[in-house]
Amino acid sequence: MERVIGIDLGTTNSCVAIVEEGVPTVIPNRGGYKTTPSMVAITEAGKRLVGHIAKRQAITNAENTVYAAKRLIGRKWSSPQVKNAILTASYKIVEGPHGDVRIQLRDKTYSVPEISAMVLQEMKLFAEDYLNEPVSKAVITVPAYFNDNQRQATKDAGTIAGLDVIRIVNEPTAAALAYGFGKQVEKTIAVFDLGGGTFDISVLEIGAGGVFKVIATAGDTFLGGEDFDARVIDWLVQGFKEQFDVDLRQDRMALQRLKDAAEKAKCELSGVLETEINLPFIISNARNEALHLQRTLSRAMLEQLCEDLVERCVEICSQTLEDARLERDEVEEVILVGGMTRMPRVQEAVRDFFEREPCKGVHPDEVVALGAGVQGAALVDETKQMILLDVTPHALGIMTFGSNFEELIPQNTTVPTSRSKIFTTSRDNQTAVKILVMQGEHQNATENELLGEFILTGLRRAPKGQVEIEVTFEINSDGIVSVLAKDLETGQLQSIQVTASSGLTKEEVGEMMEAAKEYLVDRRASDQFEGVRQEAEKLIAEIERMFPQVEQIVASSDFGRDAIGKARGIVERSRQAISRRDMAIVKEHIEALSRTHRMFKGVVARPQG
Amino acid sequence: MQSFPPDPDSLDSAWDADGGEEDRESTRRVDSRELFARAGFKLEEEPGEAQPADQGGFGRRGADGKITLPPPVPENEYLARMMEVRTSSSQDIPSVPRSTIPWESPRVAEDFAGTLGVLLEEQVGFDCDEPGVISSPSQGLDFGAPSIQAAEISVDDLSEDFSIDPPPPVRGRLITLDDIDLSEPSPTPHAQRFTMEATEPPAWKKTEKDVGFDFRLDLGFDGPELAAEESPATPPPGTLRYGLIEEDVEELGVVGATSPQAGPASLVEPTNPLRRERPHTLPCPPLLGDDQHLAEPPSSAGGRHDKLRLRFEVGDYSGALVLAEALLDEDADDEIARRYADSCNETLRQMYKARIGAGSQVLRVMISREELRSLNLDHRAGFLLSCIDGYSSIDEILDVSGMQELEALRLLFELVQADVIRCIPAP
Repeated sequence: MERVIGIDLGTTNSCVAIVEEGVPTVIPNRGGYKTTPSMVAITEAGKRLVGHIAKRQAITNAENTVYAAKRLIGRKWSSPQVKNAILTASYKIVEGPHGDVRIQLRDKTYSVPEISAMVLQEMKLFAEDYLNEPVSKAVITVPAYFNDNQRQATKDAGTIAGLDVIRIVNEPTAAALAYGFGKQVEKTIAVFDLGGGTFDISVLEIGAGGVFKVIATAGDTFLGGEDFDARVIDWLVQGFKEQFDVDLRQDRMALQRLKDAAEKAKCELSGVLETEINLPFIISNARNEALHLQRTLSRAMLEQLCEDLVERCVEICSQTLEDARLERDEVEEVILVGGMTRMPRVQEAVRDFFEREPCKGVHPDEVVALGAGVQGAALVDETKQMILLDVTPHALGIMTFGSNFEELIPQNTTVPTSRSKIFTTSRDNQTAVKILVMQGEHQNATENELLGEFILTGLRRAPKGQVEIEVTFEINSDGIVSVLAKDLETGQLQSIQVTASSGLTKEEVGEMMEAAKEYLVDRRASDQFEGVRQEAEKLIAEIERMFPQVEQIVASSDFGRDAIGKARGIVERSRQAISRRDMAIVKEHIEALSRTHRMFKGVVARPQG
Repeated sequence: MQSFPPDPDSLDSAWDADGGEEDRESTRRVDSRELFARAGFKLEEEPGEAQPADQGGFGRRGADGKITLPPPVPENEYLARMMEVRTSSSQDIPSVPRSTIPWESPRVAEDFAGTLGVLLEEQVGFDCDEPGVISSPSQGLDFGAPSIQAAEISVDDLSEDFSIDPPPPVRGRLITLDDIDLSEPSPTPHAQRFTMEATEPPAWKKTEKDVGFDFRLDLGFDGPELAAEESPATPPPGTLRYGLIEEDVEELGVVGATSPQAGPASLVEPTNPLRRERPHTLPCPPLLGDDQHLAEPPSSAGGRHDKLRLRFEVGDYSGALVLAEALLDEDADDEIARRYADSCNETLRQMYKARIGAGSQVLRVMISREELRSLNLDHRAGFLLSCIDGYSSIDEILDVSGMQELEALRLLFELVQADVIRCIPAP
């Protein structure tokens, strides 16, 4: 039975998990961390950096580092979220050939699914390294509010990364799955997810027999841990300016260090009451003197700096419960998801709002990936019965006369579902109607997302309002939306199946997939070379360390000098092969280096005199 | 029809018609004038110059020391002599040294680097532990092997007997690799490459060891660890692209020139392995022609190219890089400057990498935070220090530094030198 990995493709961090012998397990990355920053960068030399290493240079190489690509995935160039991102992102966002969004890094443009695929590919590699076998199937989580295009784009990202995405699961659902794993619970739970870049609140019902139903979901895509970090950075910059009259924001290296230090301090303050931020040589003043930053940040100060952010979270929770017509006391459990929920003030706010102690039985950084892993295992294991009932994240409807939006399927409707409504013509002798299928909540249809359109023809000529047309929306369990329009008098009908589009054609996805495969081959070769290189460099370092000693011992003889000359030759040739990245030659030289190393060791070890 | 004399290098002793002398002749050294005489040529003596007793009657040198050719030899006579030579057996031919240049073939190790190491050790006492450095980039060729051969010649080895008539010498001009076409190996490289004169050697010949024609054997030892008194004009950290430091120019010019004051100063102590070696001295004219030229601030691009080349040749790669970049700023299509810039960049990069450690190795901060504060570091070094976490490899630190690789390497090297950080094997 093939293994299925579960991936939490987060806005700021990603995590991969698998069920091993019935136990959901998070797979650590190469650095041993269980989460990996969802960041991709291209260095000046054209090297691709993904994860922690990309994060560490995110400010010093800001133009070529993509973060929070999830905010852009599946969106159209014209969407307000993209316009907003263009204003705030440090990297260049350009329009794609299909009205989609592309990101320019160095001299190349990448589609957003391509960027996300780089992160997914990295997660896939971690899993393969961990399991020591190829992995091809995955369950990927997305926010509950993602529309069909965004979900499709996430699927495309998985495809480009070489993964068969067998299911897209809502993040709160995955969290609930992990929470309910192995338990016989029937509860209404709230998933409070405050991550690095986004905040989501979802209310779910866990029913008998492991049925999960999302009752409501809402959030803010621009509220997360980074905002908390920014407050600390502001505080540090302000204090430094007052002390030295130097603006640290003017220097990227200083800003990068501030960002790292602020995040570290914030994390530390979840466990201690105060922490010292110590950044020596952070900047030089006009007299070229190095200045040091040293400040103590208390938890109270941090809470004061971020109070409004916590309040915003609470407001969104309140609104969500109101929309779902739920009382606070109906929520029987609150699951905390996302690293920011470790902050005591956030926990306190959650406790105060829901009037109950939040559940701490799940790991906030890992719970979503674990849930995805559980879902993946369930999907390939026929013995496991698990029903996931998702809801439509947005309302579905059609545009009517005057650009009004007529809703057929309300937001948070459990899928699969089907709803119908009867419409009439708006003009006399109208023989055709155009059905514009839209997704969103706005009364003005133009503000909502257009999913597709079709024309129903052959209507009877009659005064306006007399011809009745029934429009039916149907969403199946795979999330596919079908819209059918029927002339009730003649029985004439026309339908459309709305297929979500990520903004990429099939050909483009195929090409990107090939490119990703090539990269993977290069990457594997590069990894292999690194291993060989390290071995060779270790031997070279050892030989060079012994050179002076060996020379002292054997330099008096011709043979000795000759041997030293040869040793230098092999060291030099190995170096050249390393610099040429010629793995075959380096491999060949390793043997000679080993011989030289052994010989040198023997010479050094031999008693002299 | 006029016949031409054969190449003196190919002169054969069999031209001597006196066969009875052959056995005796074969055991003695034969002067070239004798050879010329045997060939029927006449060497003119300088007026007033006494002829050695055993060389009387072999012709005279002119006032300029050049050989005066004899009257043309009739073709039939020339051919007859040639035929006469051919009839002699090889054993009868007295062995005449073909060259008085005592050039001993270097002991050949497994490869060039090995040979170089052996040469340096044996002839210079030079302790080599670094790879070679790229030669002058303006040629775009690998000059390794021919450079050794050329560098083996010293002024004393060049007998005036071999003062053949060369192309008109360009006095006061350094013969650089730019002047030498290495694309096709020359059959007589020594004779063709260098201007040799029979007259009293000029001043620069007397101080042969100070000549800066040394880049062929440059091993890259002269980077950051040069002794203070001969440190190249390396800009302080962060001054790349900040422009040339003009006050260093004269100093550099002096190194390249051969004034009596400058000569000894440019000599190096062979015992210091990190100091620049110029063991294989070659008599060369000053780089820029004369002292007058050196004193003039070269403002034209050509002059700055000379300065660039000079800096490169003396091993001041950082200084050369600054100059090259300044030239490129003015003219992005300056191919010479670009080549120098690329070469300097690569050379410096290799030098720093060789000293810091392998890219896969991990750096660790070796001093406490309190000690760190007492150091005189700039904020970029501070930034790099902040990247050193005891887990990240050198390559990763270079990737995340956001600096130009060379700049980051230099800063890391300085930190290693100051024992602030140390390379440890990758876990």
